[in-house]
Amino acid sequence: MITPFDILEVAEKPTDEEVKKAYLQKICQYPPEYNPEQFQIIRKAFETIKTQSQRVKYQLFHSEVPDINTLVERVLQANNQYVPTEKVFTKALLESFQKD
Amino acid sequence: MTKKKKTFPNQPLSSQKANELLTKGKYKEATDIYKKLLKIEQREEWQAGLAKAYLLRAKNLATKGMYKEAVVLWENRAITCNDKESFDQYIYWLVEAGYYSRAVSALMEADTYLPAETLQQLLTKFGVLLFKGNSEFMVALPKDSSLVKHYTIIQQALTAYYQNNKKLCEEHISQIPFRSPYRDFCFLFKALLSIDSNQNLANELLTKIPLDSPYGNFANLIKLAIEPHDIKLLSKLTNLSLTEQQFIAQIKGWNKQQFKAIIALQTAINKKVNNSDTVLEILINNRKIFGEQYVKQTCLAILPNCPNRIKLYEKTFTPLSEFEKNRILALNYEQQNRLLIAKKHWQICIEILTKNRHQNSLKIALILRHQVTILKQHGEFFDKKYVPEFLIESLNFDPDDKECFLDLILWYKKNNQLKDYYKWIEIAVTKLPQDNDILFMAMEAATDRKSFKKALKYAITLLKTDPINVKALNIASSSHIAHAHKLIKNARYPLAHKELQEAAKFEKAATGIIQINQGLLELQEQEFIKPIPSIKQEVKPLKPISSKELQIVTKQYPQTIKLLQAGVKLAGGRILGIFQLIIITQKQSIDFNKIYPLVTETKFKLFATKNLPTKYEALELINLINHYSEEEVNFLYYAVEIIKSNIINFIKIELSKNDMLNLCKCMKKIGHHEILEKLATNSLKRWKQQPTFIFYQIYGIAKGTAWYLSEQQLNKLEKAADNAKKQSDEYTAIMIAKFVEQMYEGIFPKNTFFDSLLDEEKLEVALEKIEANMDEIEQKDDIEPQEMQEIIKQFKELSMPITSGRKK
Repeated sequence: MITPFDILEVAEKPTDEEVKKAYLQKICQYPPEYNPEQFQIIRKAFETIKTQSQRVKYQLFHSEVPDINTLVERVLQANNQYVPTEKVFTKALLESFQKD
Repeated sequence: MTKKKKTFPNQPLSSQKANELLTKGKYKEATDIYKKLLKIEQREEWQAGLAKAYLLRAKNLATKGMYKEAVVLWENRAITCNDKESFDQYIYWLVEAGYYSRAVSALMEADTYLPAETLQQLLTKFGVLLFKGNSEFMVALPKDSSLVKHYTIIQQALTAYYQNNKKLCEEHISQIPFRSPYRDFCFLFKALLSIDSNQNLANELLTKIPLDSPYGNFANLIKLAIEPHDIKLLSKLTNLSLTEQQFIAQIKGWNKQQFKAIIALQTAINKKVNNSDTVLEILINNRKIFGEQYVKQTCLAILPNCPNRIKLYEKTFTPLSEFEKNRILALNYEQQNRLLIAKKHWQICIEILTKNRHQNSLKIALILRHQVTILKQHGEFFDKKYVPEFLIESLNFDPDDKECFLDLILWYKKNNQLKDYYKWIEIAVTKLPQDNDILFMAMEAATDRKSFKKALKYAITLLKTDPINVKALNIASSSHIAHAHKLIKNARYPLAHKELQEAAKFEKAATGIIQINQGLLELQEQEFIKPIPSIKQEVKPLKPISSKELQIVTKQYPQTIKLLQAGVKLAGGRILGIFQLIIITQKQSIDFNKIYPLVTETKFKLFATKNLPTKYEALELINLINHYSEEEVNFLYYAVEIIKSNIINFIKIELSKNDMLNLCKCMKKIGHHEILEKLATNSLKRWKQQPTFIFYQIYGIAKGTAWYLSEQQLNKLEKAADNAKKQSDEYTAIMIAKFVEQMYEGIFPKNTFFDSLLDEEKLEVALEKIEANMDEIEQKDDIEPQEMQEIIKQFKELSMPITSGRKK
């Protein structure tokens, strides 16, 4: 689950100004003409939390079961790229020769 | 035990038979026949057959791992045929059979017999043998052969790679030439090195490895490390061996916990489970991977779907406050449509928040408004009982919320509670005096109440921020006109002039209305006409004034008449202008019959039916009738009657079916049955059997009363309603049914056909209501007695059976 706060990268209790500033920064980063999908996500996030009242509403009534795919994507995120150990590398290479 | 020698039955000696055996894969038998044949005669054809049989048999044995036998057969064949066909395979078999020195010797002369590409493939295979750790073969190879030299470099590169020294690794790899037996390995190795810096390059390098290369499988495995992190990758991981999974995990840098989480997700996906309980558990059990804060936040959002996991959440994180618990439960009950229990939990939330009212006022207001949104969706009962109450209550906590004011005002309007509607408009406009939406509503409400001064005030304020607001301009203009009418009534003519001048300022373009009003004002000022206290809307035959008479009047009031004529012309002339003139004279209780001759010039040709009306006139007239109908002008029938012949002429012009239907609808609305019938009858010539026109025709003939319907007309209507239903025109079907229903009210036995149409409509409404109340019935214990009575009353009204269903 990615919250509108995460999308706009604002603190938990931002001011209207901060939300607007973050939104403008984001659309500069992802202009709609080049990133229409990302822009829609940013726009939706902004519309959800742009006023104090909307932010409180989100905190009070938001209920969501994150899609398992989202969790998969999150968990599969690579950490720093690592190098396989000699043992695993050699084993995997030899196994690949034995396939077919 | 001695092994029994396999014997073959004596084969007939014929080359045809030998060929047959070859095709069947019986190489041994074929070899024997060819050998015997060659003993008889050394034919070339038989020699070739024998060579073929040897080679096929050798290959066949090699596939079974019998390399030594394969080698013998290939050598026998070579002696027989004196050629080196499939020499590459022979060398490979030598290695596999363990004849390394022979293999190396053969390899030395291989470039004489093998094409470059085949030799490259053979060497690649030998490279693999070295990777597999075939040290004897390596010892047999000359130290300066590319196979050995490059292998040593590869090993150095790999050592640097395992030490994460990519620079050194690249240096080693760069020493290996393109035509090396390790070319494919170099591609995949370079791809591995560029995964984290340039995935496109990595992909490109991997595609250079041929599909039949011995490194193909390993290249495919590396490709997985480049794929996006989604559910597809997860499913591909599932199909890998543990070593392969570990290999990918190490490249990705996934740690043990991450791996555990991946397996948990794999299991959930394989079992096709995606419910809130499972997701919450996966999150909590793997919170170190997902991040503590992320899991806490996500679990809070999941809990309304599975409040039974509150304890697990509290055990994992911190205990939830009473407010949070009640909030979660309220949201959960809302999901189950158990609104009254949800309401109770929200009430507890509000009570908790009220302890610190100042800090929590917005939250309280939002909870109340949230309940309104939910309750509105669940039927009329909840809507009526709680919506205004909650909205008003919320305004105590958040008094400047415009949307809430609008909701409340519109709710009162929708429910026809006009006293409260006007009251809340007043409150809203006091609270938010500059808000355009509120001002707009206030302006409309004031116009409805004929408070023209107020309407004007709101319109002017609105126009300050929205100067092109058409409605505000119209209201400002018509408010001044209405005020002018009041002043004229009291003979305060100079002030009335001023009002009309003010009205003119709000006209975007001259509509002629001001001019007509000014003309009429002047005529009253000059006492040519006087308002009649109780004007009779009597239609007398109107005739154009004779030129002699007109001359006399024109001489007396030249400017005024010009003004009136200009007004009528601007207002649309013969049909529209005259229609406006009729309306304005009636609004001021002036006898139209006295005014009409003054504006009748030949150019208007009101009664000259030879000049057909235009489509514009038809559409504009529909707009005007609808507009005045909304204003509740009650002399529209009279106005239309005067211009009847022109309206009937609309049938002669090319109006669309929709426009004609709208015109008929207008005539029905104002009750002009004669025009309605004529329009419908003529329309049926163009749009044959159109159910709506059939209805309008019969409705017109019957003068809007079902009592006059004949049996034949009833049948016709029944058929029309049926056709309308077939054409999915529910509106016409129900309109017909409602009309016919008048006939049966209380006196005659009910007509089942039309009843079915009406019952369907009623049933739909009833079902909506029942659905909305069903959950509450299930939760009887939670309903206050008063609320229960209300629900039972509703069921009785709907004639729904009520049985005692209390759960034991």
